[in-house]
Amino acid sequence: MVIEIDTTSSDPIYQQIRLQIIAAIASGELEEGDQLPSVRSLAADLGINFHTVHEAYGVLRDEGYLVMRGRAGAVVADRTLASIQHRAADEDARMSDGLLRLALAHKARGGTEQDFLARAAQQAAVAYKSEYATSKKSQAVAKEDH
Amino acid sequence: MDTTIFLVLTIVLIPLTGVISAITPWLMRKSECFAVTVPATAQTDPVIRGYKVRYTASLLILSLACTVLIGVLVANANEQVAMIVLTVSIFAVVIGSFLLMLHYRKAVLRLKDERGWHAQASIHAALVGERDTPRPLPLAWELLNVPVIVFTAALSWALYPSMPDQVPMHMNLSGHITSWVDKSPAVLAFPLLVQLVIFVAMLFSHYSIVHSKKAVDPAAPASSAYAYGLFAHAQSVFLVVFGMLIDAVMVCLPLSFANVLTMSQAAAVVMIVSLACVGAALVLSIKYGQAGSRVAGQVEGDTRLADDDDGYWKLGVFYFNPNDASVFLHKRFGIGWTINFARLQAWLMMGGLALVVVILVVASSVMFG
Repeated sequence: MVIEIDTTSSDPIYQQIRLQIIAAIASGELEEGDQLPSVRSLAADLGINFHTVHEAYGVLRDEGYLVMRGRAGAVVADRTLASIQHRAADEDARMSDGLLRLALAHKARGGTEQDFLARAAQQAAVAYKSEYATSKKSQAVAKEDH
Repeated sequence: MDTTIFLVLTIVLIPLTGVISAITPWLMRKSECFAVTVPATAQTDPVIRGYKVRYTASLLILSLACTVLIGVLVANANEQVAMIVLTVSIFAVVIGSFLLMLHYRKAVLRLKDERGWHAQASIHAALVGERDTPRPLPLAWELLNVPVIVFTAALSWALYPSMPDQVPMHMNLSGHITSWVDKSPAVLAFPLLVQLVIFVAMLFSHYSIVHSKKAVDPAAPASSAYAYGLFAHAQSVFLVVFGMLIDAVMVCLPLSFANVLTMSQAAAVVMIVSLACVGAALVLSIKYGQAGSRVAGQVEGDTRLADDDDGYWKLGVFYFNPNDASVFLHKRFGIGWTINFARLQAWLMMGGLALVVVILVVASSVMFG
């Protein structure tokens, strides 16, 4: 996969890396057991501070997307691992909280429940068609054109 | 006869070095021109083309003039002057190309401002989890030098009894030996020391290739990463092959001490290998270009500037970026790699390399008093 970051963007760089790795796992571009480059090597290739990559990998580990495996370094997590399932349950709880906040905000703006569900379904369709990674990239290009 | 070969080869080396420097602007990545970041479309700009043509012409004329001058001096048997001019010429080409680059860098920076070539963002890209991208040879390949050094040592030891009491150390351009030294084990250590210096230098260069930043163009990430991989692989093969060859040439020294080879023959072998080395470097440069620029399928008509890192390149060639984790990265003007001067590891490694070379040089001068 290609990781592309914009150091002038207002999104923190570690977030840009995190979101792209999650998108690649969702789309199947990165598979269980795939090895990620070492922190130092990815930071060198991207021309950024190595603490930034450390931060991205750290958050991805806490969220259960990556595991550290001795000499192999960071590896895409096996979803059937008990520890990973535990983390995934935490993440699901957090997702429910987030959805509730979004639904409340939508209601406060006068939106209907049907409209909220339709939009949620639309975004879910995008993610499950594994078009997320590509749509993300065209967004980046469009941003650049402005 | 041997002397003629030696002379011709020495003289050929100058225009060859000149050509390598002269064609440099044409071998760089399309997003750079005279160490300035420009959009890829700028390469077709008539003013930019004009700068490149003038740079190339100036260096070709300079190296041609030096070659003719040396040729004339040698033909008139003015060897000492010819040797001085030869040394001065090599410096003239190196310093001349740097000053010319600085001159045109300024011009391109002015033009860049005029044409409004500015980066709106700072996009960086990297390839993750790709197994089929070509890689440089592993560092362990440098160990092939060890048997060559061991063989030289064994040969020197075997030939020692048959060597005359005094061995030739230096000769002039017409092949007359000008200095002799008493035979001693220390004299035989000299070629081994040279081999060690070469071995250490090759290890360092190879290490820097293996650990360098991988050049990825955000406009064409996959193809540029592949092109860079091919380039890095070819350069690592070049290092292993020519490192070994130069080490192997050192065998000529004990052979000439033992009168198996005349000193002129030994010198001719050294010159042929040097010439082959420069020739191969030229071929690789033209085939791959800097960081694979001549292999990469560039996205045509890309007017955007993905990233502008001019500010980190002091005088166009010294990279100083404390926010970049890379210690080694590809040069901006010229073929090969340079260091990030903002990284302590880069200084330590350069210092370590310099220290090893100084120790070996001092050791050899102490041995010969």
